[in-house]
Amino acid sequence: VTTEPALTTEQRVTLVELVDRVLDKGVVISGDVTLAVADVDLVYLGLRAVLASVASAERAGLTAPSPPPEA
Amino acid sequence: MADAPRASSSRPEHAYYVYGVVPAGRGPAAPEGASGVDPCFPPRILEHGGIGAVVSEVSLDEFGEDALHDNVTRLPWLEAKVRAHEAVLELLLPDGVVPMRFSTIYRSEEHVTDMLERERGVLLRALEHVRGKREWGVRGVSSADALAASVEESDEQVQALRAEVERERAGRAYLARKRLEQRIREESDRIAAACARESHEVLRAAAVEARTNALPPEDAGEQRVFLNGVYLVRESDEAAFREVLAGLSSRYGALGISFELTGPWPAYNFVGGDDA
Repeated sequence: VTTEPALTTEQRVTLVELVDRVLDKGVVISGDVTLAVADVDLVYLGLRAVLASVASAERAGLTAPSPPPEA
Repeated sequence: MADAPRASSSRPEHAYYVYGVVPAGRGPAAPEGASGVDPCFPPRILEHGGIGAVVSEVSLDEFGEDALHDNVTRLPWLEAKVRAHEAVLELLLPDGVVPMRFSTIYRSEEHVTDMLERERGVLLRALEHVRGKREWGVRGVSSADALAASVEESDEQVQALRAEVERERAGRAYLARKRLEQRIREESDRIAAACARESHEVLRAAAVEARTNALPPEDAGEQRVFLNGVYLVRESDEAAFREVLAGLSSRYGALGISFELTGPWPAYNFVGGDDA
């Protein structure tokens, strides 16, 4: 058992962290219903850029902007 | 374009969404508490050849090829499904789950067991690799202002340039200020890079496996992520891992550097095999 680290914050799961994993990592096995890898990559990269700027805004104490326009 | 997820009015058809795999032997029931990517169908375990696929049925109206193609471009839809995917896997963390990438979908149960048969070697190796371990994420974040302040305090060249800025008149002072700003930026980057290297090394030493992922796109924010590390840690070593992190936090705190820990996660970053 460790004492609670004073400067380490265990953040709630942010969408950025989640998207980085669920869309970009994990075992890749082709299924019957295929979402082309290129499609996923495009969605992922676009999403990541949007989410990263939201996250840094939140980190700076600003409120999150309204949802991004649809791709 | 439509606001609602795309759906067709034809007869509903189902497919099987695979979240990941666990070792066989826990029975067909998945733990309760997560509703699955299609809330109409609870997740369950489909066992074959020593491996259990974590599956739930999904409507092809939502997860068929065309519908899926459209739906993934809608952030609210994607967020809900990505969170559901993770929620199901998190409940299976104690079993040693191997996560699959989003949207691994089969037309029938038979096709799922065919896949388990075909990929048996890869999946068994992955299950063995993650057994008794969990993934943790560490982000190193620096505050540009705090880092600059500590550079001002410790760097002689910066202090000399600061004196020059105050001593000189307009034109020269302007040039000196430019050099001062550049020096502060370079020193800040150097410190952050050194901190990233050192932090990753000591965290790696407390982990079974470690990787660094791409940093978020640069923006003009005051806070910058300089380390985006992921670590596969034995459960028995988690306390030690946290202590290492606490040590880094107290060591670098005065420089305006902090660390954000996330987890435990299913081992998404340590089962891919592609560029791992």
